Amino acid sequence: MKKLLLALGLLAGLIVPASAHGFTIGEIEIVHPFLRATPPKATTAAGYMVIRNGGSTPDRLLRIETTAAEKVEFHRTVIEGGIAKMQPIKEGFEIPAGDEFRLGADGTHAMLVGLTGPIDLGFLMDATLVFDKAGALPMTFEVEPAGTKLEDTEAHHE
Amino acid sequence: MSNDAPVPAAKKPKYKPPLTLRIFQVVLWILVVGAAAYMALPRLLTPAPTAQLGPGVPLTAPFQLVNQDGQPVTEKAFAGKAAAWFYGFTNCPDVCPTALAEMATLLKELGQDAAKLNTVFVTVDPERDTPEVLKPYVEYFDPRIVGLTGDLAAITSMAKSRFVYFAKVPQDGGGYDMEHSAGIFLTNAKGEFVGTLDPEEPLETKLQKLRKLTADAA
Repeated sequence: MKKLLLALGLLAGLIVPASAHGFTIGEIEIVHPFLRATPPKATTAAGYMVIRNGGSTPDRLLRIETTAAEKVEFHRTVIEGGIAKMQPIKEGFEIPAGDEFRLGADGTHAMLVGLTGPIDLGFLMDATLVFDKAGALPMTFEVEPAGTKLEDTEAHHE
Repeated sequence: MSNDAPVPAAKKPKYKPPLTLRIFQVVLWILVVGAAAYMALPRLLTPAPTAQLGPGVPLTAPFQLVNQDGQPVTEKAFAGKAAAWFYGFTNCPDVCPTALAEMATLLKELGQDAAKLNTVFVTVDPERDTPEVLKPYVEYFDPRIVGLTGDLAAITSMAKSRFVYFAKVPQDGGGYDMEHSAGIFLTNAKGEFVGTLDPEEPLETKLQKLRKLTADAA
């Protein structure tokens, strides 16, 4: 019985509430990074997150590394005259000093190309965010239902 | 005095000014009528504008495509029922899943009225989106969504006849992206265009549009 209680206690300590899903390196804080669940056999997926910079100098998210896809690209979807276009963003995203960058706002997203497996609900995708100044941050993406938008997740993560 | 002047000479100066005046008057009238005609005629002669999308324009041009089960489908399969037509591609990570997931939500919100609506996802990337690729994709969002693909020429002419734009955009890595009309096109039971669901508008607005569309169809 004692052992069971101990195990439960340990488990409770391991289970982090969703609102606490976040990662920190130096002055950089990542709030609830998530991927959208994908249909079976999908080859692409999209990732979103809020990145806060508590420091006094801007930083830059240079790239995302993961073994779950062949590559991760940064894009911005723009709709001009009713036409949806995707602009590649090669230089990464600036994280302004004392402010935040919302990956998911204004059509921005991280696109996983060449998925090596399905992105199902419950899947935790390990990845590394590489920042220009803060360096490499190993972290995990959670999976939200398909069609989830960044603003949908923010309300209950604030 | 005037009486001193010779008669013929006196008559001529009397007649000439009115004549030139009359000529001037006639010329003036010709100019006025000409100007009026110049302004009015183009409107009468130019044919009514064609090839422009607007409410009431029939989007019923014939097509021959295949659905996600690989079965041949023509425009007749959708005749007599209101429809929401979405054009996209399965390799699209952001806009298309958002639109399809929203469509699934809208169908659930419509409840029984969803049966009065065809929802169609037409791929603009038929080279990659074969029926085998399309099937799990559309059915993941909602099994009521019909996926359409076919050969590129058939897709191209189908899209063109329905005022849909798409183009292949090569990417640095060797792959390509598709740019395409982002709106969902709504048609009534007669196949006439009634409006679009725009990606930017709130879900509630989209739901109201579909409610009206399915109510009108009843």
